[in-house]
Amino acid sequence: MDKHFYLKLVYSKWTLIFTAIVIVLNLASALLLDPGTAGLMPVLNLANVFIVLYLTANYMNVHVLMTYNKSHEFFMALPVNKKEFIRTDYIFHIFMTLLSILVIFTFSLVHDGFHHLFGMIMITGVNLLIASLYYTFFAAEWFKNVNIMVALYLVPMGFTFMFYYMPMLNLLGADLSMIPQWEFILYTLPYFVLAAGILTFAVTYFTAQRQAARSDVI
Amino acid sequence: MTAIQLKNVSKTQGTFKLKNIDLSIERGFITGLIGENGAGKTSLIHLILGLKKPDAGDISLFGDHAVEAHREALLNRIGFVFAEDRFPEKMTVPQLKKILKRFYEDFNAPQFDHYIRKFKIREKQKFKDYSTGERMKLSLAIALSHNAELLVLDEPTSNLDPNFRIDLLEILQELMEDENMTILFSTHITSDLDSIADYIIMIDEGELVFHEEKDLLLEKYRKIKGPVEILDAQTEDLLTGIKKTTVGFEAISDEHRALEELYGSKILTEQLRIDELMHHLKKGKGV
Repeated sequence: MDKHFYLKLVYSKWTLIFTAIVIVLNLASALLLDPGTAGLMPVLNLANVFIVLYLTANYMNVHVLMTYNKSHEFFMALPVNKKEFIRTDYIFHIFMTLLSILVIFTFSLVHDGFHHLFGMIMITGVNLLIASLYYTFFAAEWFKNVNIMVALYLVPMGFTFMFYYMPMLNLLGADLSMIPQWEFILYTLPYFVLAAGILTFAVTYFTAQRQAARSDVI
Repeated sequence: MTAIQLKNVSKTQGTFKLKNIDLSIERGFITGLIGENGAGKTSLIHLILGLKKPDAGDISLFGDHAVEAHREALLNRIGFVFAEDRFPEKMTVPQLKKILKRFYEDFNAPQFDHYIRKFKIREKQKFKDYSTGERMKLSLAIALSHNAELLVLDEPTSNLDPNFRIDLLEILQELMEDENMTILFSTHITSDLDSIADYIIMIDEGELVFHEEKDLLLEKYRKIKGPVEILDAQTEDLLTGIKKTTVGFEAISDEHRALEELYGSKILTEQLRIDELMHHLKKGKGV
């Protein structure tokens, strides 16, 4: 498994470097900067959004990078067990998801708001649901059409940001007793989504491995 | 013992079909795989390397039928060269070497370095800056550096300069001193096979045309030249791939002795080259 992990690390090098930079900046901002005077904040906010997007979509990014010059054909002709390839992908995705949680956690230290916690739960749940769907297709098609499959990620993740994160920021401090469905959407739904995400991710872990062994790699 | 065995293997890819391929490639020999572009040579190699799954039939490598289950162990014993390079363009030799060390159980780093120097491959340059020949040499260096027992080479000489082509053929012949080594060599430069191949496999339009020992094959078939006047229905039945010109006809035949008895000095029989055999057999199919 370590060889697959190493290969994914090689392809994730820049994502990991930027993640480390953003975490350090988040911590430095939380510890050293006066939030009122920090002109750095808009940049830092944007950097956090981008790095969370990159981390949660890293598995797709690695596949897309591997298809440049069709080098996946070279890598898959090396001594590779297909099931192990998928297994390492799942483990690596969990690793990257934990990193995204760490980024959001350090970001919440800067902005100190409990709503970021719910945002983190929702993003993690949606991220696991998307990954489950992606791997169901990937196991059948391998590297064919990986670029198209990235749309699978962008659409629901975009929806989460627009119709969950943004309303949550706007409704912060609002009297939700007037609009009770928002109470459910903002503070209960994330737990359901996370539970569904974990469940489908666990189920597709087994089905994807079985399917991958039956499919053409190229 | 067989290195590669295919039994009734079929595979459909779009409109192309590889049909009921039965093959048994013995260990310790160089087998040439010939056929036109699009005949199915690369598809066959992809099936052997487990990159594609057959729709029907059975593939075994080194006698092991559980190719999917033991894919990792089996591919450790196989060196491959693809017709087109598939290297990650932004990498360099040292970076790729680190990856190869992890992937191959028996990766021989000093041997790899030896071939890198011998083939004059630029180590610090990114692969995107390599020439086509240089990429092919790198492929060969990898294939020769993990103590593989089977080399699967897909058009390895097509982008090489003549000098290096000869060097490569010599290297392959040296490798064959190890009696466990097996080489499957796909090429359309059939002259390469004239000098090194023990067996020849020809496929055409996804079908196996023949799989025979090269010397017996070239003994069996002869090129026949003669005047057009002797061509009647009976004679034409004995000939394959007849090509008529203003000065006579040219064809091949595995009944050349009968033809010599029939027509004596009216016809001329000559030794065939592999490309001529391929050409006439293809023509004989009426394509």
